[in-house]
Amino acid sequence: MQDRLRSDSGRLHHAGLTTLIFSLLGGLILLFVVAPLLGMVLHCPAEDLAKAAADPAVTESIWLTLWTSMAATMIFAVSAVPLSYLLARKQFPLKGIVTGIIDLPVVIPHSAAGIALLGLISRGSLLGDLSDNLGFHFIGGPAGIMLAMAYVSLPFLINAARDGFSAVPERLEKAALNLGASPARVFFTISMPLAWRSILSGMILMFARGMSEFGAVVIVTYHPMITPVLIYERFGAFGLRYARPVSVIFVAVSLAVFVFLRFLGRKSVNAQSQ
Amino acid sequence: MRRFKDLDRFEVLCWVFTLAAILFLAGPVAGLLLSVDPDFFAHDARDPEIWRSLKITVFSGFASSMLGLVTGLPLAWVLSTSSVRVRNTIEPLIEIPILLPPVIAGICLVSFLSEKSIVGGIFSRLGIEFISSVWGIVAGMYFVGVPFIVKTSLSAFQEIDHRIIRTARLLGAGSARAFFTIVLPHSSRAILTGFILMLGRSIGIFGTVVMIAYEPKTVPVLVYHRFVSMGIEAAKTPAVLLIGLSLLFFAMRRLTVRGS
Amino acid sequence: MLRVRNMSVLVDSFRLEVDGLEIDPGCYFILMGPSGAGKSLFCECLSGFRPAGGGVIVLYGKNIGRLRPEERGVSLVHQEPCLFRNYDVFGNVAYGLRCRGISEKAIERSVGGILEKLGISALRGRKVDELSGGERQRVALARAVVVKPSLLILDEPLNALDFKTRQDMMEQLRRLKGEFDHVTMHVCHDLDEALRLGDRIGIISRGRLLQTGSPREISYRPRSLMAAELLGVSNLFPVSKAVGDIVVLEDRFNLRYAGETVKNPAYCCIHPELIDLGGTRRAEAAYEARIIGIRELGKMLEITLDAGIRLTVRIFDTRTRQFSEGERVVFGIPEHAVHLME
Repeated sequence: MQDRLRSDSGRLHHAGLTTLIFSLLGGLILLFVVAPLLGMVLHCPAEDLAKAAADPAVTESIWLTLWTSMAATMIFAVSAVPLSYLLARKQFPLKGIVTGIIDLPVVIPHSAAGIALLGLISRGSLLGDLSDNLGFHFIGGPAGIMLAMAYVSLPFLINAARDGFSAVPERLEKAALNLGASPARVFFTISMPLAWRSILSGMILMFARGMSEFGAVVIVTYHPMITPVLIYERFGAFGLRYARPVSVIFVAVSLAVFVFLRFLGRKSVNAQSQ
Repeated sequence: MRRFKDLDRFEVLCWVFTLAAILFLAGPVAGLLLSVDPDFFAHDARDPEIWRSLKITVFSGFASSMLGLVTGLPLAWVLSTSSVRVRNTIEPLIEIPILLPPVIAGICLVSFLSEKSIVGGIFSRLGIEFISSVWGIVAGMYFVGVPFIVKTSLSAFQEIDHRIIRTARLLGAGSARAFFTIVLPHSSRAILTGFILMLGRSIGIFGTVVMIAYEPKTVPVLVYHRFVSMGIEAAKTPAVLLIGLSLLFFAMRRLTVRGS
Repeated sequence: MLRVRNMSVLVDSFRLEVDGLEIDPGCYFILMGPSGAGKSLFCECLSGFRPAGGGVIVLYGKNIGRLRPEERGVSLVHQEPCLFRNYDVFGNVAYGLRCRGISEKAIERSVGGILEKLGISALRGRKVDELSGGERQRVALARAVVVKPSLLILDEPLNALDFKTRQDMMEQLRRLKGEFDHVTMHVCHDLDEALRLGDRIGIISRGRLLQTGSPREISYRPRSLMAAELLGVSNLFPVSKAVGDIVVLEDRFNLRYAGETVKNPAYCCIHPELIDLGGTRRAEAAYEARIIGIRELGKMLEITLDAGIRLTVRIFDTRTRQFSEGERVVFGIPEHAVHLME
């Protein structure tokens, strides 16, 4: 009864002038948020789309974007997951500063982040020289793209995974430890599986962020072009008509990939829980 | 504190990974700040070009965030009082600008606001051109930032006990008066957080703004421009300024969250 | 004066129907019922946050059924005080007066007066976060009555308070009762609270008003089994037969009863306080029984008898005679202890 009454709690059945004005203002925002996307899709002629879809530069860049972002997510998850586990479970000095550092890439404007990253890996810097000596080049290659993508999107994975680990009841871990399981065993057999759903959605989020990144990547690695860079270039060089079809295809592909990932994710979570 | 040798091997491994991640996240910024030559920075920061773009950025950021407040709060309020079904349909729409890659948001906005489109045409007759103007910068910032205000204030509005609002209504306040004297003050902290979030996002946004307006340059665009035309050393000055500005907002946000 | 007619409200599958409720001016009305009976829903309809379902609500001659909440002249105090955190105590109490555009001078006077009356003048500059539960509820009460409402709804206002504050608050409510001429509708589910405060009591269950009456009527003459059960009346028995002024319980107990006759008596209750236990055999019906349980309830003794039927007896004066379990006793059931229900 109480819940039922609450379900439409604040609703007043006298629609006053205020409500009207508020709804109008709100409707304007909605329009402004939805219409541009809709307009872009509707304004894109099918022939332009077909031409763009057949363009190898476009398909290659979409493929590059997908795999670099995926690889960045996978590689950096290895260090991000233990970090989030420690953050969720342990108290240590300077923890506040560490959580601040984790949010740093979200806070810092991406073009500035690109400059900061580039400074670290460019020729003449410690890391840049080191990798050059090893015959490995960050700049101008997929490694640089991945680094830039990972830098701006890693916090999303860390925060999601940390929330997931926090939600795992600590007494389950304690019980397993008391039974004589090693911490590593507890982590892999108890904590990870229970937090898996959050880790997975964090990874999807990180993947998505990485794919849409422009500011940091364009500074670190202009060539080979990921799709946002390609769109930027086409817009700058040829105009809206050539940038629009690529955008539409990219949005469609990303959407399809995410629907597919969600589907896979649900399956894996179900498999875990069985 | 346990001594080091008591730590399990697995735990040590965890700490190693953690340190690596933190280094990766903090290193670039720390490296950037350390690599800046103070004399050059002090000299370069006085460059009128930087000042101009700093002014434009801060002005547009505030303008778009104020606009975000004026329009976002009513939307959040309407959503918080509407039925669950309406709310569940509209909430995901609000997130579109966050999910859309910034460059594509830029493309969308350019075609929406260019003088050849319907909306852009109307504004152009009023003398407002968006492409390559401060108006366009504000519009772009507003687009990518307004979801933050709507989301934070919506969740704050939903947390207010509706009986408090009803009490005010029964005491004689019309819905507008109740909104301004009860609802807003009760969620002021969340609104402030949303405002700062939007401000930070507005000031830092690059991909969207660069599509709409390369000129006049906001600071993120200036960073890119200087990098492309003059090299990384010249780009460092605006980058450091920009980082300082966003860290300031970040600190402010942390303070408002902690106070609650 | 409050009159409600033809109200019929449907929320999901729950229906609230109130017809022909009349409350006199200045009356302190208690609305009692179990949770989920529709009390809160009724209050929502009265205060205008939900359409009254075609019903007519007349408050002191004005039909308020279609007015906005702020135009109705209804004040509400909830279980939680719901104070406005952005104002101090004075600001909270003054809120309603400010909405009415009253001059600050007059507001000063009214607020000062009501704070004085409720004994919380010392709190006037305090922030609401610094107040205790009882103080908060008092501020909420002051805020509600200072605007001189025509109807004051108190929705379980004492529930969240501890025993002592509760008693104080009740005392204050009782004192206020005499000073204002608004109708008070106090929603509660505690019988003690209802009997102490109410001029009239209404019993609501499953969306229907079962009975209204004075506290005495309600406690001695519940009209239906449902009402009796809600009031915690003990010794409820189905009636097998009723002839003249004799009722037959369980085919073997013949009781004589006085008072109003009921057309189709289905149940009967025997008030446990009125059973004459251990008395000498009198002319009226006297029975033998065995004591099968004794429970001490503070100053009162509750004794369970097995007399073929199981009877509860309550006695107050326990000094004159001691009882023990298993003892055989004689008891009488006076005519006025028996009450018939539909």
